Amino acid sequence: MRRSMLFIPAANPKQVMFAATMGADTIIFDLEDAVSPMEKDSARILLRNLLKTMDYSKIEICVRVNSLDSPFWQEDLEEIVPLAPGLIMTPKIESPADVEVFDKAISEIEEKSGLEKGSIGLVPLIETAKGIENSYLVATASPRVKAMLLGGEDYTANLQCKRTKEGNEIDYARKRIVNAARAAGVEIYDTPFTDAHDDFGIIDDAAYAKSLGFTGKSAISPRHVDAINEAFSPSQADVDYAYDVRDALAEGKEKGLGVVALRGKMIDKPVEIRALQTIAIAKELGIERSPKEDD
Amino acid sequence: MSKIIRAASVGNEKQNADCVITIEPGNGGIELDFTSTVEIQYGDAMKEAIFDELSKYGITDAKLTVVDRGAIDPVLRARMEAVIKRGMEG
Repeated sequence: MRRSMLFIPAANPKQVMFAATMGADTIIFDLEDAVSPMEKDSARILLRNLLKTMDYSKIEICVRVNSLDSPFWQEDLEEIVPLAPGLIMTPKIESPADVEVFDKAISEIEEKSGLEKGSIGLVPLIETAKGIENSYLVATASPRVKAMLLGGEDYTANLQCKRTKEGNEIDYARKRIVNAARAAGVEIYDTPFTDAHDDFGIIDDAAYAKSLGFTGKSAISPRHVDAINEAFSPSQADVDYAYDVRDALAEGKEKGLGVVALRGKMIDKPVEIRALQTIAIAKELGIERSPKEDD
Repeated sequence: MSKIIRAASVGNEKQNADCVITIEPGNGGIELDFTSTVEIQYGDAMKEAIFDELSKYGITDAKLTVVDRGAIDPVLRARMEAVIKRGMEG
């Protein structure tokens, strides 16, 4: 279950050490924007040592390496891939060719390190207008691609417009990338809400992202993690309704009914799929069905 | 045997759980100036880690200053590795 993905600067020992306690489902250890060019070497070594030592077994590990147009990405992979993080996030991905370069380099290191080929997933970071237009092709470029992330800051810089809290300028990209990801069968994560001190803005922003179909949302502040987890978890009412749908379908099948209704509404295939998805997520999160009133 | 050929430093003095290390060419041996907020409890183990990292790279001649603010072993060793590699670069 991956609802929240929290960026942690890889150059900060304290934050890396305590990353597992922040409540996020996935931690993205950042070797790119959060690390100055002068400190790329030391951050890489620090992250490698701490990944080897600390217990991160309760969270998923993702490492954002540097982009293909930098001189750092190959050394990042050499240092990090042998440690078998669950995911590698690759910035500024614009085309299937970009994915293929990372795919090939990771495969070579996996082989050298005795890791199963393809065991490390890729999360292309889509943060340019070209990347958005090519996002379906990116998502289907390799079976290694497990998810994509929208990067709103670089994207709006590329669009030559201002990034606002309301986010009208990224609305097209959000909708386009969700559709592309769903068409490709990969997960899709929303850009961070960048005002770390706005505890209410994040609630609205996460709810909007959820309403568009995003799987979850990234964060640059630990303060936003709880709001994201809540927005992307099913409510108790959702869970109860999902179980009611499942029960109604089972009862209808037993009675040999062709059409099953619940509370006056027909349960069609999409309703059934959504209900089963909700039950699966609820089980993973430990959300149980409310006791029935007559229980 | 490897040599430190230039002065280098690493670490952030403002960060807790980190240490700042500077290295420069020595005068025939290892000269260590070590201060730590946890020196009484962990000073000996930390110095052992510092000398262990130097020996991994075959460094026998260097002047080192370590100002520690509570770095755990993998952090101290990461900082040592980074500063040694920087000091060995031409």
